[in-house]
Amino acid sequence: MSRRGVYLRRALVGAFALATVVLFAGCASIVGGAQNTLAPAGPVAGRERDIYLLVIWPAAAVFVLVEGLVLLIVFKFRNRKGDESIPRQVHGNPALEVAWTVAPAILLAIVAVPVLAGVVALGREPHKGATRVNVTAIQWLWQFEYPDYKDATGKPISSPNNEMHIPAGTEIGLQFHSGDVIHSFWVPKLAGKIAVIPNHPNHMWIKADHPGDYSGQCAEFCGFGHAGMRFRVIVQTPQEFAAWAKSQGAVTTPSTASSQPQAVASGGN
Amino acid sequence: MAEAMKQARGAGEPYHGIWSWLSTVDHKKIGVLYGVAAFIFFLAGGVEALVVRLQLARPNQSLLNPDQYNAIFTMHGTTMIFLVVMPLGVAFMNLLIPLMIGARDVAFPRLNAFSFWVFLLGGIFLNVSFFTGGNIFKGQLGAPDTGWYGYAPLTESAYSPGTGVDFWMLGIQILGIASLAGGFNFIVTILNMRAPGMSLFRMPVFVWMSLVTSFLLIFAMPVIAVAMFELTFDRLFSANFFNANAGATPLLWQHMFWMFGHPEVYILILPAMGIVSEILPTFSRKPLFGYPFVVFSGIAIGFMSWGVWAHHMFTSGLGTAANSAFGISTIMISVPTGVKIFNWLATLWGGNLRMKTPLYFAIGFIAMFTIGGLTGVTHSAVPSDYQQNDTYYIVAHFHQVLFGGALFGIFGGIYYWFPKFTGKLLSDHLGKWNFWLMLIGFNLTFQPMMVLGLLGMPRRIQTYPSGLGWDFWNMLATVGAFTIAVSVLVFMYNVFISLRRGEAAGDDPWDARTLEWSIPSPPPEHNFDVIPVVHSVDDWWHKKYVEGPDGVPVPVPAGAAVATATHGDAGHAIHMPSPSYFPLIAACGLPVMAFGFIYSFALIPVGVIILAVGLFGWALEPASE
Repeated sequence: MSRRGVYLRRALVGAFALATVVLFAGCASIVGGAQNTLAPAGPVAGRERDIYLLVIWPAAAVFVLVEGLVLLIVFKFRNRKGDESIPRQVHGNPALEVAWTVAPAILLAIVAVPVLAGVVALGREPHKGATRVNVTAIQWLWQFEYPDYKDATGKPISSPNNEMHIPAGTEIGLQFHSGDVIHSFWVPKLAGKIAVIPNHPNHMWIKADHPGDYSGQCAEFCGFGHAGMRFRVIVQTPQEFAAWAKSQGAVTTPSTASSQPQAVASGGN
Repeated sequence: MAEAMKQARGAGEPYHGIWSWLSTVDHKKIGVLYGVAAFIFFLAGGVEALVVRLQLARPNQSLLNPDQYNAIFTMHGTTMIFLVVMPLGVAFMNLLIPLMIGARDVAFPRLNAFSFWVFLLGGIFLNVSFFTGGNIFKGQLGAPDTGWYGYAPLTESAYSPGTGVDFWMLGIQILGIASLAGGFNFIVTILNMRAPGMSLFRMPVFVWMSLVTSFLLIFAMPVIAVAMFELTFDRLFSANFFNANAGATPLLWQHMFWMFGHPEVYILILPAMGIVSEILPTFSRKPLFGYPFVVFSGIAIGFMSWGVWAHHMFTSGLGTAANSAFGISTIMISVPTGVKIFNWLATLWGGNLRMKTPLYFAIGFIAMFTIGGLTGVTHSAVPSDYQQNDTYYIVAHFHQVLFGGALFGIFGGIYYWFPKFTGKLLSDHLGKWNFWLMLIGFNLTFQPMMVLGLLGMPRRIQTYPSGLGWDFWNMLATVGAFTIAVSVLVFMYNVFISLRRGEAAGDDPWDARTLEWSIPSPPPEHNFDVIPVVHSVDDWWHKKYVEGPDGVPVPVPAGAAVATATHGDAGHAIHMPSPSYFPLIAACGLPVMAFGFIYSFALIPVGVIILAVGLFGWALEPASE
């Protein structure tokens, strides 16, 4: 074997060993992480994770097929020293080519069904009874306002900047407004992103399964302070949340308001 | 390179040395100019990438402040897209299209020169912005800092009061003119200048992909031009196209940008697909498997690329109908791409693979581009993209496509055609070092980014806190980036050393299949002494080999092939276009006008006059013969 061959083989083996190490380290680290999209803590992020896995496994199979073929071809058909022969000139095989056009199309069409179901399920309006939060993003902080919880003057209560409190196990209806440029609301463990765009109000529903402290971050580049535009989502039990709302000055809550819903609504107008 | 190109210069040129380059209208020299200029920009964009990777190597670093970081990642993206991968594709189109279709030059040689000068000056104009932010030695960078995609209203004067965004919008406007002129030129060349017998379906696949790319260029560039004009009116004349404070919906910008931006992705990748489709047959000594399928899938990609733009906007809140429709169209565009992968593998299957550097890069293209294609499918699954959008997973994906795909193809093309245009072979030994270092560095840089994205790391953040599980992967990516840098140094050394004492190539060092290999290396200025008559796909191969009854080719008896490729001295009687300085003069008008928009409107008429002088001189210049 030539010296060059030895180098190449070493490089190959080295790359392979490295890839293996990286793969194992990757699997190990995917378990943890406060913004890990593969470790969801609510139904929205859960559905997104499921759809990702649904696609990534067939993709991995195609990956193994193609890369396996590449390696097989390179070892099987590489030129042997002194072999100057010219192979049979195959120009194509329409049947085969139609097959590998149609097969992926069918596979993808099947994958498309749960994808579309997911789009519809995640894109729907929040349910009527959901706890509403109005989210406002400005350079470079987040503000959260609770229109269902009003203080003595009739103003909605709000949480401190960059800190959203929500009750666990309850659907939350989020409404987004931007005060300046485009931002993007993202709490990886609870839900994927939704852009916060001026003059284009977006909505999203989320739900957190358990109480906890979740890490969120602006995901649309918004200028100088973008990297620091982080926030927390503090998920509390409904009782704790109600107590927190009171501590923020809430006098009217959804439960008290429901006894006189028309009064509140007409009062607003 | 200059030394080798000296030989390429035809006899009897009126200008010599650097003047011959400034006045050239020869598509081969313009191709070299495009290649060298784009490579220099590649080094600039590469250094920017390394600086970004240094800043992100560890958490909580402050090597760069946010202003510097934002300017540098913006310029990295803008440079790599508009000043590197696009013009590298155009370099190959310039070098190869006339040779592959049996023509003596492109349809409009001086327009071709104009395209190049406009591109070069536009690129310089963009980079000049670095020096306009105050004192660059104190780290005050004036470059644009709103991302290569510049989402309004961040780009509006209210949020970006400096001149950086002005340089960006005007610079891209200038580059668009170069692309439009080039696109029209190549379309006319391919449709009108083919040698007798070279029907469309006898054209090399690279020419086909160039044709599709050119059509995408002429339809996509106007869209971004309109968007940039609107932004220009907003910034310079207080219009309100994207001014949200005056009631505008800035979503409009996203639609226009990605209407351009997604065809743009295929503008970047299709030439590389064409290159790979030329390399694989030559080195496996078999024709391309399923030529019509590869061609039609390329055309299909061209059409479908217009129907997928909103997949960049799945999280913009377009509604379930739009997200569903664009999800389906995005899922379906992976079909014609997949077809190509399998056709390429089938081309290799059963071949006698000569394992030279160009084939390494071409196979590397297939292996790495496949990863990019598959991660792309995960984005087309819309809810999955809600998580991946704007994370490092996306960064990984498009580098798999544009680096693992486009750049691997382009490097393969450089190793493949370098001997044709310089007469010297690049060292195969260094070439393989180049390849392995690049392959390892590439995987080390970009595959960790997939993990980072899944672990919730957003793009375009200047720094990040520790404890999110990102530290190790970022360090790995930085190590990978420097490995890529080493591979690029090996490549540069290879070019340098091979030009000085590389092995002489001869006319047809790879026993190749297409017409450019039937003429001397480097080709004479007029390319073909006698315009060839074409009888089939891979015409040059069929002049060398006759296919036996069982499909096994037999070499044509010695002498027969030579007869069609005689290098007579008939060339002296061939009329070639005269060199001209006017394209360069006309091109100089554009950046002067652009500076005028930024600094003083008085400069605008000066630019207009320069442009007009150039155009009039160009139109009225007498032929020198």
